[in-house]
Amino acid sequence: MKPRVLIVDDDRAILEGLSMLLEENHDTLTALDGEEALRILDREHVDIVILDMLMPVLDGAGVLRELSERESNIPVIVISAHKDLQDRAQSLGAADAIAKPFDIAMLERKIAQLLEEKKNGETDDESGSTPLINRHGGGSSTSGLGFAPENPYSGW
Amino acid sequence: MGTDSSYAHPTASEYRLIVEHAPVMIWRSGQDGAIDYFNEAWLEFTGRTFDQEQDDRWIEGIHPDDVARQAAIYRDHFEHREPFEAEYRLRRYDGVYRYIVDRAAPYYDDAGDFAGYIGWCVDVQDRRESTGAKSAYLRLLAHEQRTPLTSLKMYLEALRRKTLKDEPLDETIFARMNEQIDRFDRLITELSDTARIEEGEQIILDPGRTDLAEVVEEVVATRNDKLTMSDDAGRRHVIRVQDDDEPHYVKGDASRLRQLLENLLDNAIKFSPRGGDVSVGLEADADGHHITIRDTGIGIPADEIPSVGQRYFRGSNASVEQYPGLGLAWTKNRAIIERHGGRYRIESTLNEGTAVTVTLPAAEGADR
Repeated sequence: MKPRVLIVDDDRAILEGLSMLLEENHDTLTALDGEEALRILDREHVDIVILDMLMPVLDGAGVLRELSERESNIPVIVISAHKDLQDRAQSLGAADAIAKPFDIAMLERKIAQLLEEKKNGETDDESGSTPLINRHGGGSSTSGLGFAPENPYSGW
Repeated sequence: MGTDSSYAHPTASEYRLIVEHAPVMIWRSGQDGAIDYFNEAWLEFTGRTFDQEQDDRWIEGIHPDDVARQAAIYRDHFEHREPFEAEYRLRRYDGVYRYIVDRAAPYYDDAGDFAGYIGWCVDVQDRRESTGAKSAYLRLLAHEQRTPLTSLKMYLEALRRKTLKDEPLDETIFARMNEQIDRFDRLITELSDTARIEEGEQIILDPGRTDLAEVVEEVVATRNDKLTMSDDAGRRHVIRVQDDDEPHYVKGDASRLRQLLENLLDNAIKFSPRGGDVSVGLEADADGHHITIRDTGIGIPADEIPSVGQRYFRGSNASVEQYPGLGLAWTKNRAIIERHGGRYRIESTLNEGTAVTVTLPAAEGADR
């Protein structure tokens, strides 16, 4: 079964382009704003969320806040052109944040990596902590996986 | 140096007048550091009397968050008899805190002995605000430019992958790429228009006889096309035209009028994020031709409507997080309308919608 990605962006062209690319290896769902995204999350199983920050009705920060309130363990990758919004997203619990415009290959790698970590986190009963939060926020990697590069942008 | 016998020193009372009426706020402190003089401009600004300001009571007017820093700056420099320049917020007569720049230097009496400090201050609030708005604008512009680039990059990658796999190429992907390039181009036009408006230069017009009905038809068709692009994603806007099937000739620049209508429609759609109908009405009477764009969006707070045409205006009910944008469309709209000898009226109800009516004079010698 393909992993399910929810893409949230108020820009139709980005939604369309991203779905077009991710469709090959993922099931894709799309939402034009945060409220719609939460509605989808209410009724659908989603493995990972790709989230824009600046959106009408409910913005990315609002989605992240709601997800942490729900104690959701769905990893969120934020895509934003604003550096300060990337930082803010990570402080609000986004697993990762990348700058627009980005290389799709990098996004795909991050998705794969986070899905892998999530799977390991779910099967490994010993580790009670979620390894998904703020992986490169603190400088050194704290995920127990050992092979993750400190700088997620290096090594490719 | 020579002599300057021809130069008559102002008398003491003339000096006093100069200092009192200089268009800057002036203060003086004595050897002990306590301020013992404020000129008229200072007292007018704070709206207080000298008695209310003396004996350090003026410090009450400094913004609470700035007091400690300002006191430290003053103390340190005073001790070393060094000049300083500082920015802090000072309460104006109307209770509003304004940023002022305070420049001060030690002064010495005729015998060369340290006598205290003289400072002069200028209200820099407006300058700070326009600088702040400008840098916010530039940050937003960078963001807005990255959006079409991001989608272009994705379409390009999709194209590359399809080509590598020898998959048939679909015409739409090229159309989409073209759209994104046009979008980028519009942002660049916007930037150069902004620079022009900044410099006070009028936007260039290419006047001719333009049929507004044609402009409306064209723009609405393109917009409706764009809106159906990914309707399955949820948002539904429908633009409906209500006109009398007659031409509406005005003297004007077709491309500018198209731009005006595009701006108005884009705003109507953007500020009705839950979807809904947008109507474009077109009618004529003795005053000219009226275009009315009506949406069912978030509206504009009534007391802010007069500010809509101001540069970087953003309604207090529309945060930049939720409604990203540069706040310049209306500056340009206003310039376009004024250059056409037209006028506009905005009616709005919060959370119900906004109606913008633009009236343009009829072209001479036209049928209607």
